[in-house]
Amino acid sequence: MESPPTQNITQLLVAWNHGDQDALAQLTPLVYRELHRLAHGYLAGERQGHVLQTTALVNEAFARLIDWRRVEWQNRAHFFGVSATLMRHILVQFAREQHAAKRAGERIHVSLSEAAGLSVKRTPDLVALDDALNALERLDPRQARIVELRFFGGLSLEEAAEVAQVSVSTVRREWRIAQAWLHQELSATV
Amino acid sequence: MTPERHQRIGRLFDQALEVAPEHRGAFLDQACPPEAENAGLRGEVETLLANHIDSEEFLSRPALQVAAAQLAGTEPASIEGKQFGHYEIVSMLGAGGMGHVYLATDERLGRQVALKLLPPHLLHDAEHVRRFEQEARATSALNHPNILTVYDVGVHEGTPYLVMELLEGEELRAQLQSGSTANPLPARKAIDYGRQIAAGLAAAHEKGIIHRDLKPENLFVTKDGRVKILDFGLAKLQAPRNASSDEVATQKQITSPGTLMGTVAYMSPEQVRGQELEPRSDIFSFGLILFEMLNGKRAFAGDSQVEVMHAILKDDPPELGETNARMNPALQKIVMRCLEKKPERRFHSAHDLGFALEALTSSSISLLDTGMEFSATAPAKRSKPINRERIAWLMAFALAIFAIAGWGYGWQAGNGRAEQLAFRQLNFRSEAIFQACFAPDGTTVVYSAATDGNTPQIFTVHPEFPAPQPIGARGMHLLAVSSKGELAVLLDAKYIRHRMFSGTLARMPLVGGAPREILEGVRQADWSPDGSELAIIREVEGKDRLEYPIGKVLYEVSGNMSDVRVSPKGDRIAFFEHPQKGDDRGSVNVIGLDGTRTMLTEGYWSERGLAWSPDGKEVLFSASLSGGNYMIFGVTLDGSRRIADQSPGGLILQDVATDGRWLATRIDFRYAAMVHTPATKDDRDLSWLRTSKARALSQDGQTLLFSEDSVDKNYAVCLRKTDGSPLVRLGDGTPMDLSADGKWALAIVPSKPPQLVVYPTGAGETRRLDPANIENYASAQWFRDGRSILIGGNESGRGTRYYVQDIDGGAPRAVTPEGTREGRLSPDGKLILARSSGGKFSVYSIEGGDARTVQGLTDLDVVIQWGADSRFVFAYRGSAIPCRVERVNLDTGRRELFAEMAPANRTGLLTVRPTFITDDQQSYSYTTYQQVSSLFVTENRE
Repeated sequence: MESPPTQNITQLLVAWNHGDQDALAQLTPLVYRELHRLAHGYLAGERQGHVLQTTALVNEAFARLIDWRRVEWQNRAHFFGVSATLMRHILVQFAREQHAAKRAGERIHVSLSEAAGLSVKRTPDLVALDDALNALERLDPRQARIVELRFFGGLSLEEAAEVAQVSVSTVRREWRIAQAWLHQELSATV
Repeated sequence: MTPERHQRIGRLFDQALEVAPEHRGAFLDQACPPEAENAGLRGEVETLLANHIDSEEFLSRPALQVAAAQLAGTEPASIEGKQFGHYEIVSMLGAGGMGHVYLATDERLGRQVALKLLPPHLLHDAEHVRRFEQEARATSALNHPNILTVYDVGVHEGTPYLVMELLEGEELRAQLQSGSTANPLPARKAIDYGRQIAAGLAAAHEKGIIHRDLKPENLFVTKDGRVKILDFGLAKLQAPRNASSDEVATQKQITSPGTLMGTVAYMSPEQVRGQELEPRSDIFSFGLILFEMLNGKRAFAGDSQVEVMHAILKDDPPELGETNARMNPALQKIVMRCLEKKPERRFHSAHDLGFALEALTSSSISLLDTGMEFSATAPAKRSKPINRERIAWLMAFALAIFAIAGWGYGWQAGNGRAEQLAFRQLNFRSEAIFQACFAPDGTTVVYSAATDGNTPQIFTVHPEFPAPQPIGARGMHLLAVSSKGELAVLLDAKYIRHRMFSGTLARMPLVGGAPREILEGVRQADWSPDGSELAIIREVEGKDRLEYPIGKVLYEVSGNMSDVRVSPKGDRIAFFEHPQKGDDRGSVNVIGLDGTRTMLTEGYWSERGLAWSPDGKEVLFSASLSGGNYMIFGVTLDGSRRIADQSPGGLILQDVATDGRWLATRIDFRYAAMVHTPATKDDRDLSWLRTSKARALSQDGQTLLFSEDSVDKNYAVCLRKTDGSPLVRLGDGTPMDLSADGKWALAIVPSKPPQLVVYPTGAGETRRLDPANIENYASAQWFRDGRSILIGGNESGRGTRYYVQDIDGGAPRAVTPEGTREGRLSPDGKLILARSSGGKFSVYSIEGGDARTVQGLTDLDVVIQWGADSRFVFAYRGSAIPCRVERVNLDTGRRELFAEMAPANRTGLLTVRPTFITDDQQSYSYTTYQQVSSLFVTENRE
């Protein structure tokens, strides 16, 4: 099945922003599908050493999910903001499920004779990051919001500045602080 | 930390970054003067700065990419929610070099399965694809309780997949050595595991499949202690005796000569040498595993693979006794025989090996555990003449004689396939047939059947004139026909379940004459060959007894026995033993006139109908291995089994004529879980598949707890709302009760040993209760407070009784005397109404004290439950349809009609069993059983 029209996603996003939980249920599989598509591409890229290709794929995935060109100009910032929150929600949920699946995998086991052949990239744990981000939100909501926009929403410095309605240099500065602070938080808890 | 401080640190961090690194120290000295309010400030800024250096790459990739990378690392196929045939992927269970395994839902059967896929990057690797297909092919050819079951194999969009049973438990490896710590298993456990592994290997070898990679990582121990052999990825198909050219080609493809496959530590000498493997190579690997289980260490160790390989080729295995002084010499011999360097000196087959271990299990296990010495060569010196031990020795003797038994020749693909039989149908009307026998003329057939409801009647029919003629009165049930033409019948037979009735045993001539009563309370019987004596099964004080002749008890069990049949020579009796009362799973047994019992074959899901072959060398029986169709099996006295028939639709064997012809029935049946609510006129059928059985309702009458037995060997506990919304499957087992708040379901899982489990109906954790000394569970009921339960069950060798157990822990506490059954707990939690061993109903106080006999209830009553005020009970008598349920006041004995329960459709309706009534008496549930049988005789077989 092909992706539903972007307009549809936009409506779902708006509905979700208005508290419609059914919309979330419909959006989650769309994000998951992009995630899975990316994972395939990621693997292919890894094997062939094409890391740049992966970046292109990520941008493509975002474009498919949140195609800003189709969004009316005045709604753009708002729309980016909502989608970043949504991505955070869904991706953290996804990470939680992965944890649960791993735990279940320890109990329920089926024939596996050899160790996993693929190494896991050293990546931040999304669940822990989400917790740290919540803590940061209490200390500095703007920094937390910028992390949400950039890391979860995949926005550039300029796009994040537009959404957060601050200057690009502020975003750059706040991002740098938040990045170091979160890194410190996560290193401390590991 | 306050937001202000956070901002201050952030500002300083920011400013420091603008300063060249070598000047940052000076900058911070100046920016954070050592004043009280600045305590720790500088340190915090420095920490943050240190993290900046570390964090340049950190968060640089968007979360979507991070998640995708994680997914790629752990789940390359990334296919949650994806459909493979009628399987939908739920989540990942694990990943390995040879495949990724997912939890999936079989949407057709609504069960959870494990689905294995080749990782995408290996899809184009011909060698891996071949191995994957090899595993699929090898494992799916095997159907054995000790081998991981493959349900299905398929290809979806070019991706091959393998659907397997979902196991819960752990690898044997987890129970053995961890790191360098030796961790021997108790001998009893090691032998039990060994016996199970040998059984699985025997089944594989019998099919011409060699595992070739047997190791503790490939052996899985389920939660209920069953060992499953996994991973036939390296398995090899041996060319069967009459192999097709395809199979030979497969064999050639798989191994290139000299290639080392498998794990070095568990390799046989011939495998190390890269030579041709054979079944006895697996036996060597088995020996290494058995050694490791008993000893805690590997027999052949070394610092490198080369050293290990050298040891396997050259070294003698260390004696088990060196490290375990309690070790039994017989066991030592078994291990050493497996570890012989030359295959021809090892056990001839896994089957033989299994027997050798079996003999140990029965004879000496208690000695192993107490550390006593026991000589395998001097059984006569042993003092306690226990039957079990004698059986073990008989088996060992049998083993010596039948070393190469025709084990399972009926199983070989393309060889000895069950012959196609020609059948002739004898009945052409809708009736439920319970028992059919040949008359002495070998042509006329006598059978008992119910044409309407469940009252049996005996009919005769001749194949040339298929119009059944009734003989005797209604309510008479046929048990057996003697060689002299005399019938063993039950008078006033009351339907119990399956094909089982209870009534007064009587003998009656086939032609003319009245029945002559012999004994009351009998279930089944068979004639001695000369027609003078009877073997019977009856229940006495809660236990099933096999008597032959009547009055001489040969065997007694706390479960059930059924289908008693005396051998043509009259020297043995064959019967089914069902360990759980009311459950038709079990084993086929033969008992001698001296009480020596041998279990010929076990592990059947359902057993119905048994007869001796005319020469007395084989017991033919119908049983189902998987809950599907009944097949007819033959098992010889040394335990060799074959499939004698597997016609589509399945047959239940009724009798075998002296010339070998069979009489068999095919049944079409259905159990249905029904609910009556005031909202609808007709009662609702909430069944899932065809064996749904109602158990309890929520007090609002909206939710039904029921079991579905067709799904899993251990059945399924299900929940469904009366509005017809999709059902929820809670887990394995037979549901027993729903807690008063509807949040917890109690279930008995008929595993070995059985378990009592509490399932949450919503959020919450499944709990398993400690059985302490309870060997079998019969029932379980909640106290209204949801803190304790009333358990019906028995301890080893004892009669059933009731126990109270706190669900938070503690051992069950007996609250009624032995022999009590059908216990029902009053809603106030103070009283238990139960039948005493004498069969009378009494009320027992939970707190103890004398039992009080009750008014108004008789032996014939079946009590469903108490009424809400703990003063009356709901009960019914007999198995009449519709089922007339009455309220019985326990003080006055007054009875009044509550409801007449029956579904609108009554075709072939054999039972209506009320199961639950809500406190407001507005809603109730019951289970119905409907059945229609066809009767067949085989044409001349020889």
